[in-house]
Amino acid sequence: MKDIYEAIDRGKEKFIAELKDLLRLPSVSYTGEGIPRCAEHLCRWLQGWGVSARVVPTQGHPVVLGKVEPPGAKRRVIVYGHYDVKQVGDLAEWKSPPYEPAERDGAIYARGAADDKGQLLANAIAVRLLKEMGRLPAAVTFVFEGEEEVGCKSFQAFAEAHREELRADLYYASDGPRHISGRPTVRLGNRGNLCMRLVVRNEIGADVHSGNLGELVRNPAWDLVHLLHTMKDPEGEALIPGFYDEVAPPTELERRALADIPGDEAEICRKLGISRIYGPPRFTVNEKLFFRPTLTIEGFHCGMESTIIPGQAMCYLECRLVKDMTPEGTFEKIKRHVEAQQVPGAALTLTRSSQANKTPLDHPTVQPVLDAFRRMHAEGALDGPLLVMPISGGSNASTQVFTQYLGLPAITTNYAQPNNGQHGPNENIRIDHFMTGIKMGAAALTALKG
Amino acid sequence: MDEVFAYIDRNFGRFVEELAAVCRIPSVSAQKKGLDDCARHLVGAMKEIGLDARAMPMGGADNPPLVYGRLDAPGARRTLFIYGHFDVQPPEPLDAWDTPPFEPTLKDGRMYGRGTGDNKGQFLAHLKAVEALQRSGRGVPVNLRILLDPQEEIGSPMLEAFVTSHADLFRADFGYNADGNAAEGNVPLLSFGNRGSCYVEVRVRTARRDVHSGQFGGPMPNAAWRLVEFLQTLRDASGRPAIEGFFENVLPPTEADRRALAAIPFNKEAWKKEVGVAEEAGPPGMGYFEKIMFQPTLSICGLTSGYGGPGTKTVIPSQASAKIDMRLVKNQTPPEIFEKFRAHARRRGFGDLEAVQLLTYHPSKTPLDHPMSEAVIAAVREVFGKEPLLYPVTGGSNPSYIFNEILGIPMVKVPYGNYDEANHAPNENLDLDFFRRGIKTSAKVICDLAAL
Repeated sequence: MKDIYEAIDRGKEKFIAELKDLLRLPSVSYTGEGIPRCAEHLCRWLQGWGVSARVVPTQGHPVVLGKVEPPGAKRRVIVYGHYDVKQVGDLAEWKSPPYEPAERDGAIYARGAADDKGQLLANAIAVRLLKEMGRLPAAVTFVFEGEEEVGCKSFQAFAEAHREELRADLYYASDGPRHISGRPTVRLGNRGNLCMRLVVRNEIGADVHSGNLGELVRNPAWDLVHLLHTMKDPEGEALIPGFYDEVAPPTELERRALADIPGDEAEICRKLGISRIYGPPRFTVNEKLFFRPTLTIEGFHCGMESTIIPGQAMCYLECRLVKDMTPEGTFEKIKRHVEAQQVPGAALTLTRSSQANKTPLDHPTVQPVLDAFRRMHAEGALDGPLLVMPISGGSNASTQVFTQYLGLPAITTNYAQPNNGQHGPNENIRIDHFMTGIKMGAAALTALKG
Repeated sequence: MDEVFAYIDRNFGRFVEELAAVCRIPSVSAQKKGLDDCARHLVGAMKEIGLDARAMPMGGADNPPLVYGRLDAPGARRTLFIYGHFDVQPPEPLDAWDTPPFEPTLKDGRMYGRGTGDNKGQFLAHLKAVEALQRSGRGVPVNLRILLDPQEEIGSPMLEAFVTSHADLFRADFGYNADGNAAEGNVPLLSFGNRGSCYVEVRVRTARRDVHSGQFGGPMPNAAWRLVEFLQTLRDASGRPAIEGFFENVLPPTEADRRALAAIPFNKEAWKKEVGVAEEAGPPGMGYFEKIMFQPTLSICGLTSGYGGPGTKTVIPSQASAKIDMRLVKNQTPPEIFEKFRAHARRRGFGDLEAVQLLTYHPSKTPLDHPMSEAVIAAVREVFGKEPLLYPVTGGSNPSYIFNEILGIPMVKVPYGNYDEANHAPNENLDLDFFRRGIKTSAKVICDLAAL
């Protein structure tokens, strides 16, 4: 692999320039801003080095699909990434404009630098390099999605329509940050998620004066507080009947993997700036992150303008689901709980969801890739010992399509550093992480020759 | 009083013109417009009728001056304090007005324009009463201390500090104020107090920043949950405030208060229809007026945490806050309730929460059986020709506590506005018959209080 890593190092300036080109194109899936242009750019870029690529329309934003067919390849890997980004939020909080990539302190700052354009491009560059060197052992199907940040709404239908084209032996993606310890990270599953909107309205539905009508009319803010309070016990466990029914404890193999994941509570508190770990103390931090479902508030809003009784209160709720919990089943349980509280004018709706997925730690296609990363570390090409997480805290609905619907084993790596500002202002990817990502991509693909 | 009333009737046409002149000045406190002009105009109008008047800066470069006028009547035993305000609400939405808001227009016996009723026509009634007493030969039998507030519509932010540091300017035996509108059917009324308010923002911070709910959901504390836990401790199972000691200083209605409450008509069905609710909420076994006048409340006026925009954003919020309005009744005070609120938070394990007072008003209440009540009731009864209703308290909060509670001046308020005055709304107007009766009422009140 040494010559490959050296070739990657030699291409550094070119790769950074290519990344900046991609980051200059807004591609906000929520608003649709710049999506077609960015998809077109990626497609042309792939075609530019011989990939048979096209922009495939979906019910929502298009998928960029590309195939590389090296002679003699026996296996095929899906290389997944997403080219859409989150909204930029408050521009005043950005130190440099979000679509004008800026290099500072060894990192490239721009919306999408870490999530996920930088990581998507690292893998594509790795494929190109192996192809150019005649060292690409497996066929590659690039799948670059345009709706990951809005819940992969069209991806299931896309997969059904192109099932034949998506046949493969492995799913490989890089998205999200490394583990908070900074160790190079591989994740073999995702928690699912379930996003909901809870609205409580009173009969008036408009704000009224709190001096004239305080306590004389129902206050939806109190109703919302009351409803939310019925959902959690003081320790932080959900009080929804049946919520934990499908939750299984980790297997022996998973327990061993968990033991390798740093989980020092004091360290985590310090890094996150929190005073204590939330939730029942009988579970370790890592169990809470990987094997326990959550019920959290993403935000709530009502009133705030002077002395009024708000006519309506709104709350975004979210669950992270673990294996075997279904979004629909969990939603039904929460809905039934809300209804049982008999708060007039309360309505719970499901806004988006995904099922949890998990690839076994001992899967035969996955093992050689993990071994390659471990070797990489031994050879000094990887900056830390590999951390294998049996499941990731995050959720990705498309991964679920590949694992559940297409039945593929799935490896998700994380090239970006832990504090990369994804979804917030000043998103960035460290240049050394971007370069290491290209090398990891190359190592993973090379490992598929067997 | 005949010669005084005759003077008022003879000069009423000019009084109406003088009201129009004041209403032409757009003195909008929220928009910081026209306040200096209006103050200058009013100082002139007061000097014209023999008052020692001046505009007094209240401190802070951005704040308009208040207008202060005084009269030391030879041989007077009593001093009367009069409060009014010369600022008005913003006129918007402009296209909802039938005539321009700052071009006072006479139509069907009313003057239409912003400020006609709230409050220019009402404080001008006092000034014209003083003029009538002076020039009709009757004379003003009391010392007068008049304060015209430039910021009532925005909560009089500077007034308490100014008045308490200039208390000598305002010392008086009685306080009188005309503001608001008559009851339904144009029944006149007297108001003896207001609820107070302790308006608090509570802020929770659980982490340095918001984090991704997938990566950190589970072990990560959530500011929104913590705020919910705290807010839930503020109420008991029946929805009443559960802060320890919250009710301990609450004075129940007196016998006189209860009689007054029983006399105020209340059509519950009409109220429910107007507000748009199926049932009246609040503590059971209590009438509407008792709830609104004699019960403190604890209301959430707002909640905010994390993401609130369209779509979803999978974050765990590190900050959350709530705005809470506690309406206070006699003898609660904002500092007492705020301290109890904080002690409650500490006792329930929420000592780390930040609580900030955003707005405070003391409750104020003059006893219904105060000697000045009888004099004012008699004046209103005679001039309006109807038996007035007595409102021990009104639901809203206003700065009268500064005079009533801090300076210890018993205050009575009589609205000179017609029921459909449309204050704060487009087509605000003052029925000129009410204006005339207001002037006469003020004249009689001034004379009758002198005799107490």
